[in-house]
Amino acid sequence: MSLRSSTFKSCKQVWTAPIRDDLQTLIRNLNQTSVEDRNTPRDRSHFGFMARQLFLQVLGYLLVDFKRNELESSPIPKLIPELSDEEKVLLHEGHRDIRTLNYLCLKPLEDQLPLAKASVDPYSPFPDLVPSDTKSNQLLSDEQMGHISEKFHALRSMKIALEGIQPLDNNITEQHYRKGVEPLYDKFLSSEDASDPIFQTLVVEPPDSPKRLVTRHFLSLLCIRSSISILDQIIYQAILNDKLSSLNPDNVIALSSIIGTLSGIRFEMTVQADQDTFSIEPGDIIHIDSSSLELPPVDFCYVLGLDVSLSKSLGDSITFTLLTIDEDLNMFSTLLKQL
Amino acid sequence: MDAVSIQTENPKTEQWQMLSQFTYQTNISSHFETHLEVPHSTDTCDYISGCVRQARAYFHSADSAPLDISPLLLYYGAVNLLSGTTALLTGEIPDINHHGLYLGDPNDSHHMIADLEMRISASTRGAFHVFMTNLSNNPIYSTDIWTLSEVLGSIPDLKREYEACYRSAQTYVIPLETINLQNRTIDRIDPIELSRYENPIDVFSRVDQFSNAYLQPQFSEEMTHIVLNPKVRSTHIGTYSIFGRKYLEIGHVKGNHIVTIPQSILMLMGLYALGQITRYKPEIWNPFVMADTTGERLIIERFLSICSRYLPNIALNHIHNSRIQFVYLSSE
Repeated sequence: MSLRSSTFKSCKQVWTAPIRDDLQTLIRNLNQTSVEDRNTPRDRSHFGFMARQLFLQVLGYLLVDFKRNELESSPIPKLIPELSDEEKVLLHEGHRDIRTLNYLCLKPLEDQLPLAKASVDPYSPFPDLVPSDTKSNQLLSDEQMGHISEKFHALRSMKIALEGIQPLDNNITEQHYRKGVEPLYDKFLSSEDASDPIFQTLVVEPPDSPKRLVTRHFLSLLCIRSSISILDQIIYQAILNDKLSSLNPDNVIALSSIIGTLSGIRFEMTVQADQDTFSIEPGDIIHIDSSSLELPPVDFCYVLGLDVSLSKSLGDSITFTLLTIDEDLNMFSTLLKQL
Repeated sequence: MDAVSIQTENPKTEQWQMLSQFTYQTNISSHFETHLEVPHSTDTCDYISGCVRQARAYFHSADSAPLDISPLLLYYGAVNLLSGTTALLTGEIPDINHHGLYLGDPNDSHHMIADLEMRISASTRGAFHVFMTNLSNNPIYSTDIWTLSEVLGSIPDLKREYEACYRSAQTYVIPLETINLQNRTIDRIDPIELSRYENPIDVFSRVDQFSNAYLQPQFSEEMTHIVLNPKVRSTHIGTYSIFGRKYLEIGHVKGNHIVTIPQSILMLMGLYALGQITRYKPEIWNPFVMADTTGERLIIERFLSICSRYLPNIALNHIHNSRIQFVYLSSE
């Protein structure tokens, strides 16, 4: 069973977790408001709006609460609705399991490459906001987290990362790792540009050259970061919904060509806008019914971005820019193949 | 079907010239060799040639004949044309021994010519049955009664005149406007086109294969049009007017079935009813021709004109498996 299959299997556990319903209700309440409550003190939807912009799952909500004073004194002050103590505990419990999962999955890096871990863990730049006395209501059992982390440790990207240590300069620091991995991650997500010199190194340099080995090492960390980010997002989405949003023949109206870039496989898909498709946001993981659409198997995708077109005469549509996710939950599958 | 444009100054002449290719055995044989891998006989070639020649003669005669007899001439021409077309598609002489339709007796409750009723024969050797089997994929239900009004209301090019003449009747075609966008095409409907229907949105449920062709219609009070987004890898549905405008065909409710009949067969049905009245009921037809005060005569004349122009075009579409559009393009 692949990491992807194992992760989706664990969603079933999330759905039946005791805290799931309350956590789901809380997050929805922080994102929605009724027409009557809009722009009144009962409207808490801007809390969720700000949290979603951080793309950090449950941690995003904790961070908004944590940075309340900063946000309220910003040039455009935003009154952040208060969270009750019970609500804070619920968010702590929700985040704790995802954070623990990250810790277990990245343990080999923690043990053998501690300087690299921060560049890979999407939560590492942020304070640990979960009190140590947080209760033991879990989304995932220890056993299930163990299964997932086992699959994670067996990833090819993990093996390459742990192999390619020798040629590294002993003066390398955690900052070097973060400056090497994080900007590249953001760049590969935001553009199809394959002209980055790093690709030339892969192609031009001999396989055992130190330059190529170092490049290979950093790019493997990039792939690990992708896998852990997608893993976190899938668990988070399982809190909110019983299934992934699906693009299928009943809502798709146009497809672009599927482009395999050196970093990943991406394409655009235009759908008819309705209640379901309007709910899809950048950063979401969605399902593509590729067999019914007669596409190559691109079953799960990361939503890179979207464009909404609203027209009284031509109808409403949304064009999603999508990046495929492979069995390792890696968005940069073609990149890993180069390593 | 792919659309093919043929530039011409005179579509009627052009289409008969194209059909007349099939009055020559060489061309018929070549057609069979290209499109069908079945042996064909000289009799079949003679049959096709004869059908096309006679059809052309009947259609030309009808154009200059008075309304007293033009429906009958056109009906005979239509039967010949569709028989020849069927033989070209199958490689065999069709087994037809009667019309396949029965005209009901006009009675006192029939106030207009459009009230004429006809019934479809159950026999598989009726012309209607043979043509429906070979020229469409739609099922045949022989217990149904059809009125001439239903037939006329299903012809796209007649829609405007039909609605003006029969104000309370509904039509069975909805005009679409096709809009080409950057990376896709949409079809949209002016809401006024659905205003005659009691339940406008339910109308789509009576369009055969609608859900295979389009996503859920998009419409709200703020929108100016009902937008139909074709599905990716969709089934193509709809029929076309003489000038190439696309129409959705609303199926006719017949008992437990929703029935859609293609334009060529509808024209045949309409011409049959009018031909029978012309031939066997001059006591009904003559007063209508001489002294109609309702304006219905205009509808009938228009229907005959459409059949004269478009039925040969549709026959060519079947033969060449393309939607042939005759166009007049200025060189400027």
